Amino acid sequence: MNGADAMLVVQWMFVGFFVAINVGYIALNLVAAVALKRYRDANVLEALPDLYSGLEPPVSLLVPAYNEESTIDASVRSMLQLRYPQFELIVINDGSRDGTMDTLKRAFDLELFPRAYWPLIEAKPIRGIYRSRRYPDLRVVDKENGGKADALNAGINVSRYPLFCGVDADSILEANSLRRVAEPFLNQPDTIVSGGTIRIANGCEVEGGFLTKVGLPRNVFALFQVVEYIRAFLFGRLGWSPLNAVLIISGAFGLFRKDAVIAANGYRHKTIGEDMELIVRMHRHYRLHRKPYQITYVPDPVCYTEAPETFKVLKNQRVRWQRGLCESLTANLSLLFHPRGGAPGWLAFPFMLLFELAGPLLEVLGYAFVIFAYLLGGISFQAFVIFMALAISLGMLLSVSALLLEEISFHVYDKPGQLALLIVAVIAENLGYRQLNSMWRLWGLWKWATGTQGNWGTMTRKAAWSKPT
Amino acid sequence: MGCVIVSDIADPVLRFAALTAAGAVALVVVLIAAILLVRAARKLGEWRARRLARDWRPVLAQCAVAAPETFPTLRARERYTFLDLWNHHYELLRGEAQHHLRVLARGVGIAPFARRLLQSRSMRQRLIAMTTLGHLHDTASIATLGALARHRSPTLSFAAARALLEISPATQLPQLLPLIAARRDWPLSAIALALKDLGADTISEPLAHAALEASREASTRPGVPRLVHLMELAHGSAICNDVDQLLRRAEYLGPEVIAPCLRLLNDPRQAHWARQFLSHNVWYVRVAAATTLQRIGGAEDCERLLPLLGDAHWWVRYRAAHALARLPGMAPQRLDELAANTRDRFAAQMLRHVAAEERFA
Repeated sequence: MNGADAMLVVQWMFVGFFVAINVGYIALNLVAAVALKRYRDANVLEALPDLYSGLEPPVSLLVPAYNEESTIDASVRSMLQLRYPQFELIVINDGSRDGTMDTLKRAFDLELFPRAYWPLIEAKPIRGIYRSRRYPDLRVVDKENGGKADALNAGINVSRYPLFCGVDADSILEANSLRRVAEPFLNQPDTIVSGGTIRIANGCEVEGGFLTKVGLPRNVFALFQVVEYIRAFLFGRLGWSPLNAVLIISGAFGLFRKDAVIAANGYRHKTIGEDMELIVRMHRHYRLHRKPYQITYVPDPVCYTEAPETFKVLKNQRVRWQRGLCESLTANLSLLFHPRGGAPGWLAFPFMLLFELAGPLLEVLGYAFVIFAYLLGGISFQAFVIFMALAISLGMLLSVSALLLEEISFHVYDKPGQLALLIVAVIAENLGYRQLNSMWRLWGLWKWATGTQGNWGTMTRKAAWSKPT
Repeated sequence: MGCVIVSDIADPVLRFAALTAAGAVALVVVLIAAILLVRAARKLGEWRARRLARDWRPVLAQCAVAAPETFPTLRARERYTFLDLWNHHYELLRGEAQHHLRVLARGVGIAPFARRLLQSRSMRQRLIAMTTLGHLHDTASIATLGALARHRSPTLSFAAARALLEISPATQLPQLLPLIAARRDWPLSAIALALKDLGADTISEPLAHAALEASREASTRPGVPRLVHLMELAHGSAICNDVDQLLRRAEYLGPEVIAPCLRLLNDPRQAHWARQFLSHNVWYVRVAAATTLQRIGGAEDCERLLPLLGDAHWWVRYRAAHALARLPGMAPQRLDELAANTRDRFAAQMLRHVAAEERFA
């Protein structure tokens, strides 16, 4: 093969990769569109007043907290106001170095409680279990630092109810979010996990821990993340749900059957993407043991979270996410093409491996190839423009189709100005931001490959949208 | 790489890439237009719904106190939107007010429209129609709803069943209970809500009868746990003997039936069942037995419950400690004494835990 042939092969690979990844996502988009229509039709009566039967399974809300001194009071207060027949709230202080524990003690009038601790899953030692004198359903676990996964495991050990819901301390929940994500457990007895859509809180107004007004952020990074979240949740997850092949349920808000998680040995320590890793492991466990199960994604927006607004924090987050993805997939490689792997093993896993894990590498290499080939005279200016247009236009197509799904279904951003801004954002995010993201993810891939310890990560919270109660 | 490999559009790679990119851009434009159209259509629909609500809300609100004597004209193109509004009001109101709303609905002629909607291809329209016909107690649609209750879609079939229960509970409930037992895809909580609306007087006897009948045949036994769970909505006294009979067949029915049956016991004379199952090999049956003794046990059960404090399962220990705490004559101080005197670390921990909870309560 001479240089010209090699160049041709690389060109076809570049075109092939961009077409394949986008065709894959467009196929997911179509599945998601059908699933969304069915879901919306079946839930037409949901608009009627909320009613509870009394048979809803009780839920333990687990809130791991590490250095959340500034937001923990408001977060806990909002979670205590959730509408659900029976739930307990367990805050796990994972050895915070700031005043998180003191804030909790003061705000909720905590006292030590002689809880009979039952360590079903391995977790770092517990210093004390507290209960609130004011809120009977609030417990606080004070433990040695062990990371988010460890904190969740300790929470599972302390929890009383058959379902538990992992919630990030900074999550802003809809009042009926628990009811929404608990529904699959009522409708399908073999449901083991259910998760809902996460949206961006930046630009919204929050009062007393609840969202009072939906808005769009002014910060361009946060705005692009609004589009990313719509894309990631509305078809990145909903597309896999009808196939029972959802590999990610966000740690920010997911409901789990406790015995199923315990059977899978709980969250894995020393991993960054503990939420994804657990889901992939549960797929592997249930598939390989031929046990019936359902992991369901509920498309309703149930939880809002603050997105990073600075280059550095956003970069760190994406690097961490990519490493988490790599860890989750490689820790469960036996699911890949396993004879009993089903849709998760034969479709979702290879898809994630090729397009999400290796995707950034192929994408950055593709862009680099086109740029260098042009600079070195390997391709003409016309070819350079066409290749770049191909990559960018396919990305835009995906983003716009996600926005269409959002408009058909939940239309959270209701004002004309918001829609106009989103249309601009779905176009603009493909002109630099997405490529930047791929580079960060490639960096994450590199860091994973070279092996670095995982930790909670640092997320600077501004909570500029939050008003006190 | 000194030579230009791809230079003009005639090149197959470039042509393919150009066409794909052009197609993608064209689709982007089409989708943006679609987004704007969807938004415009939705806004128009919302405007119409607001206008309809503005016109009809006073009439619907009036129904809270009295049945309307005159009926405003409902335009044909507003009927579907009206169904939504009417159903919403119906579910908010109770008693006589619901009757007044039915009078209004019949007066404006929405029943025939809802019956026609039952034949629609749209699931959304059929669901709204079934809900409306149920609320209207529309006996003319019983046959159609009966067929729909056997539809393979759980959403459609359950909505039909719920409508039937509203229309004629006395005749429909006995017919639907075997379906309720068999259709595992019907959410139990939603069934419970529908049965709750009918009231304990209506459901107690048919439910208990259906559970007993189902327990007699091997083919219908898998549905018994669902019916027993629903018996929690029935009058305790009305189902007392039936629960006794079910527990006599415990060995055939298994732990999924025993545990909820134990939860139904409310008469101290039936406490012997709980005592019998305290040593059952399935942990959640032991939990149910201990919880039952917490409710209907006597002071003499103390000795039976103490060994359960050393059970391998946390929940059994927890419920046994709670049952002990609630026995006649037992106080948190007594639990502390028991904790101090026991050699079992887990039992002592649990007793202290429950004593603290009792003080807190």
